[in-house]
Amino acid sequence: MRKFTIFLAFLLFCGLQFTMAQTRITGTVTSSEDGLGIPGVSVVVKNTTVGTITDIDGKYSLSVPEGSEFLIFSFVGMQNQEVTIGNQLVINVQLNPSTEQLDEYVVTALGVSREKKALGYAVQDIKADELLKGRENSIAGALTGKVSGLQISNNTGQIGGSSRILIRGASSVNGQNQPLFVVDGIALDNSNFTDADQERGAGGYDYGSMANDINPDDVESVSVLKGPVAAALYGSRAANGVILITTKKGKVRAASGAKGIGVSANFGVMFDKVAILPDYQNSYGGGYAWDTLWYNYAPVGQPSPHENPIAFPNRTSGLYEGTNPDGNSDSYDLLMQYEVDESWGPKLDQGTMYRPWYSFQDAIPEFFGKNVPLISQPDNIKDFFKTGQTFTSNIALTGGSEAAYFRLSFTNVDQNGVMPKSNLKKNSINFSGSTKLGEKLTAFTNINYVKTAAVGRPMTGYDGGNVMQPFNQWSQRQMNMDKLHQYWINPDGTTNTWNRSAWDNPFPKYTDNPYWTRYRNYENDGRDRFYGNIGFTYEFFDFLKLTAKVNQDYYTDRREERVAIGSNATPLYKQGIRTLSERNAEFLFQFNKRFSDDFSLGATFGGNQMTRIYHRDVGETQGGLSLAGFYNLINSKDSPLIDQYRRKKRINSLYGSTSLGYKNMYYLDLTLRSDWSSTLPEDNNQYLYPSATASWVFSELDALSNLDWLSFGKLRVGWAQVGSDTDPYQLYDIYRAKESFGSNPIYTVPNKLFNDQLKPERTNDLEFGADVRFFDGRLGLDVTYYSMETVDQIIDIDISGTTGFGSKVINAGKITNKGVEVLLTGTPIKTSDFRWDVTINWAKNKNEVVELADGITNYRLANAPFAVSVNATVGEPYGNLTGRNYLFTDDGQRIVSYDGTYERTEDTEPLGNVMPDWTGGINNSFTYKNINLSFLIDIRKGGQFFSTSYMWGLYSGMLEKSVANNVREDGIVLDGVMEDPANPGQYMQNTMVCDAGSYGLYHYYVHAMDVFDADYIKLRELTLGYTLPNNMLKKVPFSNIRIAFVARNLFTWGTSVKGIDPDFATNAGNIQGIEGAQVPSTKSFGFNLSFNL
Amino acid sequence: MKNIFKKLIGISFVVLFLFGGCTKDFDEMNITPNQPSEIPPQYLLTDAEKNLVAFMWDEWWNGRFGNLYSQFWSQTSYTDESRYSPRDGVLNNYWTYFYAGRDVVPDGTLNGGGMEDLERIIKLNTDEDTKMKASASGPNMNQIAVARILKVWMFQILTDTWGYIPYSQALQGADNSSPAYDSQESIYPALITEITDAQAQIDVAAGSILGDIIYGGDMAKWKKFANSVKMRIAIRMSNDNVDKAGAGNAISEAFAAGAFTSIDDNAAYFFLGGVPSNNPLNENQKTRQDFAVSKTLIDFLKLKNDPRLPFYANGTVNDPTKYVGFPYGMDNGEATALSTTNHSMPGNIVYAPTAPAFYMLYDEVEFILAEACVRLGLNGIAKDHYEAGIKASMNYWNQLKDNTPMGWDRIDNGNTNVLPASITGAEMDAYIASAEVAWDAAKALQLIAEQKYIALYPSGLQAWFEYNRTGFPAILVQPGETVPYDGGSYTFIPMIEPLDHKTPHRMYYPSEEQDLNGANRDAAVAAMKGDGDKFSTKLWWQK
Repeated sequence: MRKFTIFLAFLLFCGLQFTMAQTRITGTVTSSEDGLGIPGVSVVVKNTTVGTITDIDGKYSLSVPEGSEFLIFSFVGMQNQEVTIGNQLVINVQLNPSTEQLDEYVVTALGVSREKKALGYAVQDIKADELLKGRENSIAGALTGKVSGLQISNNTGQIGGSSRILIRGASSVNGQNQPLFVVDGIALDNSNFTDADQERGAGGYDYGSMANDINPDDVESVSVLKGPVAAALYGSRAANGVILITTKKGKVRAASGAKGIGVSANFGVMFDKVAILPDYQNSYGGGYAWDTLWYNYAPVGQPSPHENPIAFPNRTSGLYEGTNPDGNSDSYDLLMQYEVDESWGPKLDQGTMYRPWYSFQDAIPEFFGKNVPLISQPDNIKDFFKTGQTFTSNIALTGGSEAAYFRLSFTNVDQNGVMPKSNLKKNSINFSGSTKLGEKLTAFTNINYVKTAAVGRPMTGYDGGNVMQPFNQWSQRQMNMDKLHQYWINPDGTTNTWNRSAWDNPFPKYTDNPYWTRYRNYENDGRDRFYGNIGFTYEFFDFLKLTAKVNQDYYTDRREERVAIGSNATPLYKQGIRTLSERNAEFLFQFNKRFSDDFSLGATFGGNQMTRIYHRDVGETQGGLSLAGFYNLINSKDSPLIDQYRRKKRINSLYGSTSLGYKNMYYLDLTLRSDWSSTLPEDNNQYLYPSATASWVFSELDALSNLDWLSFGKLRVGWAQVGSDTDPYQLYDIYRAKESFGSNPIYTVPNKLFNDQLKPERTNDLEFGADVRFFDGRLGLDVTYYSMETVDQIIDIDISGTTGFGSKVINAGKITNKGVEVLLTGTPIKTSDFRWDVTINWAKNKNEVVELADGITNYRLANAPFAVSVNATVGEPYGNLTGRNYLFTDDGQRIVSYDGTYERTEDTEPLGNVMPDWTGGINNSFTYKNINLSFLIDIRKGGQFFSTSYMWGLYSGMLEKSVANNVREDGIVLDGVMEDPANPGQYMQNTMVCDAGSYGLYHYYVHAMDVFDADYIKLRELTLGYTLPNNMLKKVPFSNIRIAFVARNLFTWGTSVKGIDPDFATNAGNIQGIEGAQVPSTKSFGFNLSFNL
Repeated sequence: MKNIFKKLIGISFVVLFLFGGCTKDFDEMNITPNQPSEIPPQYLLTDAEKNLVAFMWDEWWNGRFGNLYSQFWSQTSYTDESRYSPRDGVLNNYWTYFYAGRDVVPDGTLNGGGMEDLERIIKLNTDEDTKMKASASGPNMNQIAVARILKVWMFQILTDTWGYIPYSQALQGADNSSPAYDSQESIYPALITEITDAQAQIDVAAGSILGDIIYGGDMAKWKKFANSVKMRIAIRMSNDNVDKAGAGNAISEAFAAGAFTSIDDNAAYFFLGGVPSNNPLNENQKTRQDFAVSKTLIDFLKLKNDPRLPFYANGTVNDPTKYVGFPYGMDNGEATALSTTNHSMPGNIVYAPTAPAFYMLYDEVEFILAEACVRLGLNGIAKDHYEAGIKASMNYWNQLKDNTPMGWDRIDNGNTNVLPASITGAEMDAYIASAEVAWDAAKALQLIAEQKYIALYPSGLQAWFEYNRTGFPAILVQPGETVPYDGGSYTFIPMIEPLDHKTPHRMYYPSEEQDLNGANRDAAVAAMKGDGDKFSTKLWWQK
């Protein structure tokens, strides 16, 4: 530690011993688009690191060393300008928008804006207009497909759902593997309070990622720091990369002559339609066979049905004639086996009349006792869904004077999902401002308040509360959705479902009416979140300033879940309240100095204290509810279950960096950070993160600088090591309370073995890259190769239960990620009226679990509710899907068993892996005068998923495959070999016919039958926009009017199983690749209008 | 300039002090406020006593395994388990439940428990640092003895279910992450030794223990329980080629030391009415109707004209006076075609919220003694023990009946306000004298096994073990058999393993052990005679 401090002190202070003659230059930077001042423009003396950033008005003041020749003005999204200084003391410039990204500046770790060409690592940034094009409501959704190496899985059908984000693959066995979100220097919590069952697909709601609280309308730009090399200064939480968000700031309008306060507004409306549903069969109805409802026959002790008005009201006979079980001739109605939630029943559309489920109640007089024809309902599931709508309104005010500026923005999002009764409302207020308190002191603040309220998020996974579970897996295909909607509730308030326990017992056997599920068993939730900071900057000299600030993120999240009395499941009310507070107090010294024409030095030194406090209070009724419709814990039949949990964690950090530049061609950056974490044992709680990067701008070589076709070329190399701590309370043994047995308290030994010998885990990252631009920047190629290795992982590893414990916390394991990221940008056509821009990103990551703990070759991340598990297996990529495979002969043929079905392996085997081979995106933009058309294609290739819908959908005879090629009538001869009856031990081509029922059933036994490639090609975004020329608007107070048609997820191609979208993440955790009754993904389209006042 | 240097240095020192140095409170911050680090061992005992048998009793282990393999029950739909196709997840979970417990708590993390609770009780009462404090829950020796007895009870069930299991190296936590499997042949004598020592360790005079929901801390009863379990272990290894002599000795010893002598000694506890302290089968039947009483059992009880029939099963919903068993092992379609309202569901006394789960009952001791008299040369009159066993079982069910509440929710519309009349002494005598039951030395072993089978209801696992040991009652439907029933006939076709064997001899290992303890599991499979990790592989005591 001492050495580190001395080293930093040296860096910090050695620079101060030089003094030089200086000139002060001031000026204003405005935009050619609207003439307004642009804040945040970087003003740098060419070939030095001397520079500053414009203030809110676009004004700057900079002391330049004597002999400086040029000033370079640069800003994200603007063309750079180089101005000769000469004798000028005031230099005003106007910047033009740019699409080339040559000498741009990017926001790097700790919010420091750096010249991109000086960086020794890969950073990709996305500007607001690119981000907002598709009008996504979440940052993750908006980034999908746009950044190379950023793998994002969403579920478009969920309102406010989670996104799984991976940058350069998964590095930690059971860490979250999610990047850190930083908004204007505020580390924003992105917890996902889903429980283990929700993650593994066993029910529960997807309450969405906390990062959904970031309002895209307030975002100015996003920088993605992809690896530890770029993110080392952020410490442990940045081991999986950082998504660095800069919000919009106020502008001073006075500079451009405009008066008063500036107003910008945006209004959008989007419509969502269900896009992908499984291929259902429409040939056979429910049950296994017809049932009969005899007119005169009744089991002993039961009054004859005809005396029972419920069976044959106002009728004197059944519809059909036959011989009843007593052997007497009798009449009967045909009855569906309502208690069976499968579809192996009678053929549809044969004109057969039968008794529908809604014919047994006098409350439904029009069908009471009636027969109806058995007809197919090919669109019944589709008809369940509504057209979703999203209205987004944003209005932002900006203004300010020389001394102070502000931006105040309000956004309202009102979204109705495609499921009946689902709504999400989000209101965000953002305020940012800064004021000069003196010549050298500036105070600033940034405050956000976000209120989210949702009702009726769809349930996920294998649970009756997820309507997709019966729809895809357990149902009867002849269901008439209109009737289900019409009769979902009886006048007396009781439920009414197709899945009757028996014709004379309406209690739901397994499944509630889907409308009952949606209207009665809904969840609701809300979150109030405040995040912001307050701080000051003190400029000691032009080359040295201190920023100190306190960042605070605080929210209260409230969730309520219910199961109404009368549902199949035990009635329930559950309420969870979670509060989280994270405070980061920090300071940062920044030093920038040029010592000669050739040599420049920048340095930073800072510290941070993070304190994070989390409270969870959950109450849940037990044994059912006493009163219907009353949702309060006090309504619990038995004593309610209480869960109270507190957690506190602190990390203290010191960090520093130094950047050396030589001749505008060679750059060297060194950083060092030290963390002390409260979660680790006292003598092991400190860890260092060193990083070093170097870059060489070879295009500055004399030999190359005159080449016309080469506009820029750089090679870079970087190395970093980051550490990571763990969750609190992993060190010491405890006992866990359970509910008392009467007056006897119950505690148990925990399931987990704790470990007071833990040490921090470590990631080593090495990356190389090249950045080359040609033809005036019209063609650019940025390639990065990286190799990352995470060791000493803190793993809560499963151990055999025979030890008396289920898991133990250890340091072990090694995961490597090696990959290539390519970003190709080009402008194939550029005329005065027309231009075509294209951006292609492509990334391939090769992940390998190199080792786990001693003697352990497999770590199970989770079991799916059925069949497969997701694993980290030594020698394989993270996320192996393991289950029972086909049994193969030595020459790789599938063996068919004595009944014509496939044989399966006795042991479980790897069946696939959830990691893609590569991901990519192609973004095309065509601009003709004021019209812009752009579209984004998102591609994923490789990786597999397991489909629970497919497994049960075939088991239950719901899917098209269970009728395809006349399998029900003729059976199927499976492709494979069978044992030759004449020569035991020898195999011959299979000729045994397997009946459709067994064929369906065996999808449950041979899990390999339900594993599919996760490939897709999606048309993610399509926009067609028109900007009204400002000269048309001189008479009206509006300016910059833009209207756009926007569409998202219009088409999906290339999936391996029709009707199941491989892009289905329902949580942000590590357990991916298990599809289970997915909420169908949607396509969206709509309009957007924006203007300034 | 100098001033600023000073300021900067000053600030840096303040900062260093604030940030780098200030980690003193870290250790304290990292102690969880959510759970205690010390508790009296009595709380662990309650957990173990409640859960070991509750896991054994619930819809997955008893409903879809024990009570199916013994053919006490049938599945009314989704009949996979009755056709010998257990779910991987269930095997994984229960294997771990018994050793380590594993309850999902609301936050999604896991509670432990299982036998590890017992292991910890022993440790807390043994270690010099903790034994003083632990004695607040009762005399150290007595707490240790009870924990050891329950462990023996549990281990026998585990080895009888799977054969080779981790025993001598099990439950050692961090000290041994991959326990080796022991042969059943070596586990059995070790269990005999362990339970003999444990019962000897009990000092009744030293006082009772706390947290005991089985006996309320009565150490004399624990001694009897230990000797009764010892008899159960012994009788199971008493087949001709196993260890007849050892079995005889152990039973004589246990008898001399004192085993159960009345139903008041039964090792059983009543559940409380409310969630989560109600009977797990009661909880399950609130939302699902998966099980009916099997035709196998009901026909057998009818054949014997057994007065326990209305205790074991309800009359059908359509005709409460009629008892109709549900055919065992039909496929889904066949089973679904049968109406549940015309078949008998498990009785109100079995499904009631307070219905007890039992570790071991007095009647079993009498049946063991009867068998030991016949086969192992124990002094005594087999007929007397046989008849005492039957009466003890009937008295037990009378006792349950008196404790069964009325008017709770039954999803299947079974009338919970109807309970059978108590079995009178005269009825018992008549039953014992009836043709199918009356003592007949020529078929003594069959009679004892049949009555033991009936008396074990609804503890299906034990009945399945006994069936595999004795081959009685000979009424269980076998794979491949075509069975007539009222309305047709069906063929019992198991789903996974082929038809060439009978009722499974053992359960195969959970797949999780392949991943987590693979080498040891593979070694056990190799060492077991038979053709691998199969249903058909015979256990040591089945020879």
